[in-house]
Amino acid sequence: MNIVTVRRIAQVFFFALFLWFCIVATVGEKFWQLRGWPVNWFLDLDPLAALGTMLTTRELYGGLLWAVLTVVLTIFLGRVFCGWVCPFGAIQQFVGWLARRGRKHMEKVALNKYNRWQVAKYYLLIALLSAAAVGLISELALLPGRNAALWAAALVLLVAWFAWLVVKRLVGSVRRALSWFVVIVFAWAVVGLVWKPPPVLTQSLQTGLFDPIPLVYRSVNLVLVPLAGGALHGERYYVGAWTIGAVFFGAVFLTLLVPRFYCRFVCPLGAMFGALVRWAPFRIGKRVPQCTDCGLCETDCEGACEPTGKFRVAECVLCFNCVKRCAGAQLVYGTVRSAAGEITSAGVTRRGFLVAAVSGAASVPALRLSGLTARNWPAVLVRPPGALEESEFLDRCIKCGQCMRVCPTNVVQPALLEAGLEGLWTPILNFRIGTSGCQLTCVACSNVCPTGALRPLSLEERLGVGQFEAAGPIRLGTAFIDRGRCLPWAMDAPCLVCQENCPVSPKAIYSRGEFRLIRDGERRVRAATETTIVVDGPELRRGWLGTGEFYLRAMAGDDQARRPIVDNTADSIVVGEDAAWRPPLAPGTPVAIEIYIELPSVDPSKCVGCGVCEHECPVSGLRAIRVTGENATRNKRHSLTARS
Amino acid sequence: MVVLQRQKTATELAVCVGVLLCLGAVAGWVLLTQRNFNPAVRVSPTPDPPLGVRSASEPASVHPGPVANQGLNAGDFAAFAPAGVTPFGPLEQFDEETLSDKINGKADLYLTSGFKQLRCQRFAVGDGEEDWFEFFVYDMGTLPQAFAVYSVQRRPECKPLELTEFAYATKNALYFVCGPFYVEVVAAQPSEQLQKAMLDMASRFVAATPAGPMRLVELELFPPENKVPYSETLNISSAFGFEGFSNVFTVKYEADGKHVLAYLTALDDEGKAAALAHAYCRFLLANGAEEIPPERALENGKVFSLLGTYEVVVQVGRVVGGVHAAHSQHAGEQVARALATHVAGRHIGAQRN
Repeated sequence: MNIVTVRRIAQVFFFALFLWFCIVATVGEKFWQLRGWPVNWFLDLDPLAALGTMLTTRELYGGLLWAVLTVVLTIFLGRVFCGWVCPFGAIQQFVGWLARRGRKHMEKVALNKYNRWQVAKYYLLIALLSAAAVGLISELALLPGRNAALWAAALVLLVAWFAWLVVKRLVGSVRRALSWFVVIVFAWAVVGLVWKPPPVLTQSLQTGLFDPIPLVYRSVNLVLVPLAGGALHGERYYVGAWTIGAVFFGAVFLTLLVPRFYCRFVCPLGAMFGALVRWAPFRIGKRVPQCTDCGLCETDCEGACEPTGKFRVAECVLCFNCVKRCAGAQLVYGTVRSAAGEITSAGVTRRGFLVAAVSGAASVPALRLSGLTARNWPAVLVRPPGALEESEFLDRCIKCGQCMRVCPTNVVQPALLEAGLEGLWTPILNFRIGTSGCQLTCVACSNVCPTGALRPLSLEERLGVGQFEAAGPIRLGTAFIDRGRCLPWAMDAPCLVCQENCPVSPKAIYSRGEFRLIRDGERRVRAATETTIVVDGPELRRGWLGTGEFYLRAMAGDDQARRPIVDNTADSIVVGEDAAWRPPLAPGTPVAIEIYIELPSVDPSKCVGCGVCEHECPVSGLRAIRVTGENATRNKRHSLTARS
Repeated sequence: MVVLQRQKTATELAVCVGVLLCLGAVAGWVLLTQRNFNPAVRVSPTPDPPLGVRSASEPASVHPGPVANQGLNAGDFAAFAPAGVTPFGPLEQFDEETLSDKINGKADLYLTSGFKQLRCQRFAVGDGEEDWFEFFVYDMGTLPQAFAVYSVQRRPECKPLELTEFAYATKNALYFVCGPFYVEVVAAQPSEQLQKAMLDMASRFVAATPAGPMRLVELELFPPENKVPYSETLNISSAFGFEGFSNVFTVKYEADGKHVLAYLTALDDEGKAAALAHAYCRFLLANGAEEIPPERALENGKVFSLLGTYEVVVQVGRVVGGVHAAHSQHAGEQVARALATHVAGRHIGAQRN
């Protein structure tokens, strides 16, 4: 047994564990269902998710404490998570190994040379973290005007930093440094006291777009599991899953060209680890400055960290292939520094840093200018139960797709552009695609969310019972009837499917009866007995009026009471014996054929926006009853009704 | 310090063993953790045992309000689903308080007929988008009460079905009585494939449900001659608007080319029957009926004319019967006489056993 074998065992172990967590993420008590499996564990281990949510919310969600373990291991041992734990890294390594089997030694070495574009992932990380930190920076800038005590503390820190700079002689001239210090403090004070930031100057958590752990969860949950079909819990559909699949398979296929393409060029989590290993005590290094330059160490180097020459500490993913292949046994892993030299810097330039940081920070306010989190909020945006207010939700959602995977009715779907570019792949409810609406007695999505973007709900809170009675049930939105498409409203066709299926008690959908004149319903009597009235006008469909919903009413004379129609022929209408006209209607009497129809309406004070009505509506294209985000509990500004 | 190098060392072996132990520890932790159920799982209600294996006399447990079981486990109707039929929705349960949430306007009919519990679930055949049906099982407490709701809702387009003694099918549904259960299996659309799947599932349900003797003695008191097929009904209470008329069975007969409705109800003894017959006659008179002489002698019977229709009331032992709203006196008396003769011939006894 050697370390490479153990590393492979670990990769297989963690990948299998990850797959198992994806498989079991479905509500139920069976061994292969959710039970208590820690299905979010890999997300919890992800320090980028933890840091991102900390920057946006100034809180660390409980489960993400696991990330501290990852950070500590990385600081001491190097990028052990990348090379040993990361399921996406394992996929790439395996695919890369398959693609390069049998290729010549020199070709492999050429592929594993450091590429200057590998620095791109650091810029991406900077941009993503800047976007997440805008709010924090804004708050810091405003500190002088908001909290004098905190500002004083910050000033003390700033002075200490300045002193340290002076002592370390990192600034050429003390006078120049002092000038900069005064300018910074003065500008800070002015900004903090007089500047009023626009509401769009806020943060947004977009790390989930590129963070490999949410990416691989999302891809397996929403693409691979549905493609596996019946073997993994039957049919599942996800809107825009192709976009997720395109990113995933694109990253995997690029590995065919360049080993661990995503890890080397894109992965912001890898970049974060790269920044953390700068002072790692344990690292790979060369015992002697000069070796035989056989290149064997770079044949299978996963990180392109160039162990032959100056070792790039930040790029090494601890695959240990170099150590085990070194013909001269010159490469070792330990506390010794490489005799051939090391490059500890990630290669990020000051200018590049600024460009990435400013771009990232500016992107969120630019996106928010469209007002999607303000007055121009999209009505179609119905979030799952437990979702926080939209801005807070976007501060936490890492787009992992766990809520979508666990939803028993498949109603939680990834958004495309419904919530704007910021909301890409965040969960929204689509009542058409699922097997039902959002079940009232289900709180699964809110209890699997790894970051609290969907806060954990109890059934009592969801239903608004017990201690939550005063608050009422959690409302996702409100159903609205489209009277132009609703069968009873638009076409005089009896239909109460929405009312019958409304699961709220008492029902939020109720109906009001109304007599309506049918098309060509105004006629004149040609001849009549007490129960049979022959009328003029276009031919009637035989038996059509005898269903119990149609009535005949004389429009002249004293007796204009409606009579239920029991049968009809092409030109005659029959009423029951007990409803006969005595004496019979005279020829020429105007009569009206009417239908009694129940017209559904929604009571917004009862509707919780579960979407069962929308799902069941027989108008199967654009539904005649649709749920939109009004009245959702998560945003009081969207209320329709006055509530306590 | 060198931890790893090309040559294997004791340190490397120790590291390898340590890593493997860590993996083992992770596996152990995961296995231990999975026993602490996620709250999402804990709130999923534990379903009742399958209805088919429950004793008919055992009271069904009732969940407050409509309860959708997320986990389609042992307690749902999936146990009766044939191959190719899969649950398409959660099992739902409704009690007296919540029945109207599910069936709305028809709830009163069930509630006044002894309704105890409704359990229903959707099933899909194939991809389920269009081909699905819903399996409704109404626990009505007793066979007569189940028959009552079955019979008064009988669809005009019904076709006979050899599933139980009381069963019929329409283009897209099956309706039958099985012991104390009234069962409706309603498809989203007419389809042969769906109809076959529904019938298979219904047969499995019937086979697994202890129904007891499916016999209603009162129905045997009606003469079989000229009976309109599938016209038997049972009104549990207030038949013909008369509060005193409970458990009234009715059957339609062909007479003079039209249908005539015959009815009867069996009481505990002759005295009660006589009192009921007398009360009903008074009820008819109070509502504008006029007693008229019968065309032929009718023992223990009276004939009334009411708004152009004819009512006949007869008492035979502990049975009160007759004809309701006949179109002619002749036809009404003819059917009532045949009914009285047949009841008298059945010798059902002066008192209920």
